[in-house]
Formats: sequence, C-alpha cells, structure tokens
Amino acid sequence: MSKTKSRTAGCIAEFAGPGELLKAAEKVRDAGYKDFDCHSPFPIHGMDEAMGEKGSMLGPLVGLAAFLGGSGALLMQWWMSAVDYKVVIAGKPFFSYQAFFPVTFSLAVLFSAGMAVVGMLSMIKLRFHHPVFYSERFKKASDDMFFISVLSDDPIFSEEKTQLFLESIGGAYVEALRVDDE
Amino acid sequence: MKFNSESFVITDTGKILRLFLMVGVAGLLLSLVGIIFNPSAFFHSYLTSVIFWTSIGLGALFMVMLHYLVNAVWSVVIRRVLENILITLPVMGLLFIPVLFGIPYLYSWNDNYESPSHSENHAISIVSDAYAEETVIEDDSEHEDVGTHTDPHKELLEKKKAFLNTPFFIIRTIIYFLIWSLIAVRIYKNSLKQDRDGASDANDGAGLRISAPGMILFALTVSFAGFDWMMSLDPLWYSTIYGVYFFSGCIVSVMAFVSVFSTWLRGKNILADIISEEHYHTIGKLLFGFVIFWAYMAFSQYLLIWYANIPEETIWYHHRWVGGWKFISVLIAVAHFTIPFIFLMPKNMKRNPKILSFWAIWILVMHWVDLYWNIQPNLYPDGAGFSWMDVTSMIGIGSIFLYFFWKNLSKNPILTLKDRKLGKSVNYVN
Repeated sequence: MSKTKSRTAGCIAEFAGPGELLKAAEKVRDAGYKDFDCHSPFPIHGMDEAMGEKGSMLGPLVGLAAFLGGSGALLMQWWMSAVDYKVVIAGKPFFSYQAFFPVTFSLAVLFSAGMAVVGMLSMIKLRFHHPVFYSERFKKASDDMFFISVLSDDPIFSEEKTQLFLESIGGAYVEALRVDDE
Repeated sequence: MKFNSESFVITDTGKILRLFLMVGVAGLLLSLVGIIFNPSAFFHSYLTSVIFWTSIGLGALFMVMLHYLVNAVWSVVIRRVLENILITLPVMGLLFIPVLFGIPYLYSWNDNYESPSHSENHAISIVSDAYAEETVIEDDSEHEDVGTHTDPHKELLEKKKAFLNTPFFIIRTIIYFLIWSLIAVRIYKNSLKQDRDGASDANDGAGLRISAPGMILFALTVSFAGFDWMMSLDPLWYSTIYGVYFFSGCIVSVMAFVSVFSTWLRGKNILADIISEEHYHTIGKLLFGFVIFWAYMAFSQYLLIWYANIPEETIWYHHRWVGGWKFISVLIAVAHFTIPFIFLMPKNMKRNPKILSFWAIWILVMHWVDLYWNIQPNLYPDGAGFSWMDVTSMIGIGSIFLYFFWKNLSKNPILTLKDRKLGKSVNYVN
C-alpha cells in the first residue's frame, strides 16, 4: 500500500509577462489544445478570446434563476395573502401586487446572486488536487509569474512533443507535472 | 457635409444648419399661431418640449462632470459630443422664456391663473373632489356661498405662496439656467483650451475644479427645477423623490441621444473605427442601468403613495388613472421599463450600434411620453388629450437645439485630440 505510482499529468511553462502569456495562449489555442489553462496573478484583458473560450452559459442561467426567484416570490405571497391566511391590510385587496414588488425584486436578486456564485464555482472546475500544485515554481503564480499548463487529458497531449512545443513558443522552465497516485 | 479625417473637423455643414434653422423657426412660428386659439394648450405643449430638450443637455452636463470626477477613460471618445450637447443649455435658457410668460396658463398657484378646465378654482377643486366626488358644485356663484368657511386646502396654498409666487419662480428659473450655463461654458472653454494648448495637469485640474462644486450645484438645481417646473403644476401635491425622478430621465435621454448620434456618424463613416463596439457596449450598459434607475425612482414614488393612501398624495395618480391617462400610465410602466429592460439585457443588443440605437430611439420617445404624462394631465383632467402644438413645438425646439448642437460641433474637432487618455480610450475593452 505504501508503494506510490508516479505518472505525468501534464506540463507547465513559465512566461515573462502578461503580453507574452497572451500571445502564447493564442499559439497553444491554434495548435489545437483544448485542456490547457493560463495562470496569472491578475486578470488579463482579451485572455478569453486568446484561449478560444466560448461565451459562458452563466448569464442565461442567472437570468433563469432571477425569473424563478421572482415568480416564486409572487406565487408565495399570493398564496399566503390571498389564499391561505387572508388578512385585510389598510383596506387593500388581498392580492396587492404593488406591495409584493419589493419582495419579488429581492428574491429575484437573491436567487440570481446565489446562482451566479454556485454556477461559477461549478463551471470553473475548481479542484483541490490540481496537477499544477506539484510544481514548486507554480507557487509564484499568485505573486509575479505567468504560466501555461497543459493537462495530459488533452487528446493531442504527448509528454515530449508538448514540452518541446511550449519551449518553442517562448516558455521557460518547462517541466512535466509528476503526480503521485496513491 | 464633409469630414476631414486629418483634423477631425466636420465641414460644409451649411446645408444641414440652414435646414435645422428653417424647420426650427417654422415649427416655433406655427406653434405661436396656436397661442391665439388655445393659449393653455400652447404653453403645456411648449413646456413639455422645452423640458424634453433641456433634459438632454442636463444629462450631458452630468455625464461630463462625472467623467472629470472619476477620471474616466472610456468616455474620452464621446466627450466632445457630450460637450456640444451641454453647451446648448444657455440657448435652452432663452427658449425657456416663453414659459415664464405662460405662468398664468400653467401654474394654478398663480393669482392670475386661467384654468383650462371648466371649474374656475382648479387647484382647490382637484383635491376637494377627491374627498367628495358626489358633491361637485356646478354653479360658480354657489361655490362662493359655500366657500365662506375656510377651505383647508386654500389655507395650505396661501402658506405655500412664500415659495410659489411668480417673481420668485422667475428668479429661481433664471438662477438654474445661470448656474448650468456657467458650468457648461467653463467646461466647454476648458476643453477648447486643451485643444489649443495641449493636455496638462493644470488643464485636467481645471476640469476637476469646475466639476466638483458643479456636481453639488447640479444636484440641487435639477431637483428644484423638477419641483418648480413640473411638480408645482399641482401645487398641493408633493413628492420628495420627484427631483431624482426628473434627474433619472435626464441621464436616460442623454445616453439614448449619444448612441443614436454616434450610430448616425458611423453610418457616415465618421469615427467608425474610434467609437468601437466596446464603447457602444458601455453606453448601452449605462442606458440599461439608468432605465432601471428611472423605474426604481418611479416605482418608489408610486409605492409609498399607494401604501399611505392619503388623498392629498394619491390625487396625482388618480388624475393619471382617468380615461386615456390610464392607458398611458400602463404604457409607461411597460414600454419605458419592462420592454427595454428585457431587450437591452443581452450583450449582443448593446454591442450592435443599429440595434442599440433602435432601443435608444424607443427610450427617447418614451422619455417624451413620460414628461407628457407628468405635465399634461394638468391640461386634460378628464382623460388624455393631444394637440398639434405638441408636435410643432417638439420639432421647433428640437431643431433649434440640433442647430446649435451642430453649429458648435462643426466649429471644432469632433474628438478631443489632445487628451492624454485618448489612445487608451480608443483601445478600451470592456
């Protein structure tokens, strides 16, 4: 049981700055890689396009959540005030949509905010054990370094060729990510 | 019209200018004919139109001051267009003069008020009606007999006379336009100085020094202008949010105007590669945001009045729920907010200049309907009415507005070429 099996889960290369990273990302995209990622301490304008990312589905999902939240709120208030527990308030009709608007609006905002957070977390494929964490140098990605990582799940990944390719587009300190599976 | 792509100056605008001037003068003269037949209708139409075009100028004044205060980058490419809108404010001040002559026909707090409706003491009867709709007094002589006991509303109106009286109203209106014109001219001159002498810290600092106190003065004057010009049409009614409501309409209309105008320029291949779809996206986002802000203000005003249900307050909405006004009230809720809200939400709608300007024109029309709905129930208390003078005064004042807008626009480069942030602004990405 103590025996560990080591395998290559991908490779990583370092780039000098945000501009270089952007150009390199375009080349990796054009080479046909799909399962790669760029790591930078701050957001870079135009990176979505350089990486060939398509528009996110998050917007429509948030819209749907807002609609569900809003209509759910209206339904709830209608049921409570006009069906289940009728109380005359200030002589107004039981179903006074004017009074229900603030709650409707708030629940629509709450649902869409919740959907935005949960949807974002589930769509960015956040993992606790990402292969890049096996690289010592990668720790600087949150400080002042710029990286591109290509994972071995990619159909055209090959340990040698990908490393050579990353070197050819200007990557420094190219290294294979050795992962210890237990 | 020709465009010099070296100096960024539009030349040969004589033909357009002549057209605007001719249409403008013709529209105003034609409206003036109406003063003989129906002065009340003329002044209500004129007030609606002059406030509509002034509100675009006010919105531009706000946007440029905001631009300086937050040191904005993206708006550098449209700064000159905005500046040419705000410099029409002094002209709008002159065009506002007829309204001052129309005070007896517009504002019932005035002693010489000539009511457009049948009841002679309109201001008082509108609220009294809400209490006892059955006991409408039909004979005027009888009204005086009954009126021997003190009417609480008449008393209230007397107390308000310290603020709502003709000389003070005129003085206030002059002060508003003086303040706006002063800020506008100083901002405009500072911008032209930048064109001449180049950008410097002193020049940017001057813009900031005008805008910071200007913003405070703007907030106060716009609020009070809304109270004076529109809210005091019903002198017994009051809403503290009304000034912000008027302000939100100003911003909505200027963002709409800018998107229509820059799309039109794009069609003429002017600034087509400078005002990019990223800028349209931002203009669209602001338009979208301020449409929501407008709705927020409008609904806040409505909700509180609806909840409290006090006759003095609800009467304003009651007047807008009579006859055809009911349809217009619903139309404003649907077409000024709901439809643009849904259709301006997707990214593509904002990034396509032609689609964006379609919605911008839609919103401009609805902004006019909104002002019309605020002002004209005073003239047509029994249900929505329409007068041909609404059209002629709108076209007349609009053409004069566009005449001065174009005249200033063609005198100077259409872009603030010396601005240090210009390059950054052109390459701006959302």
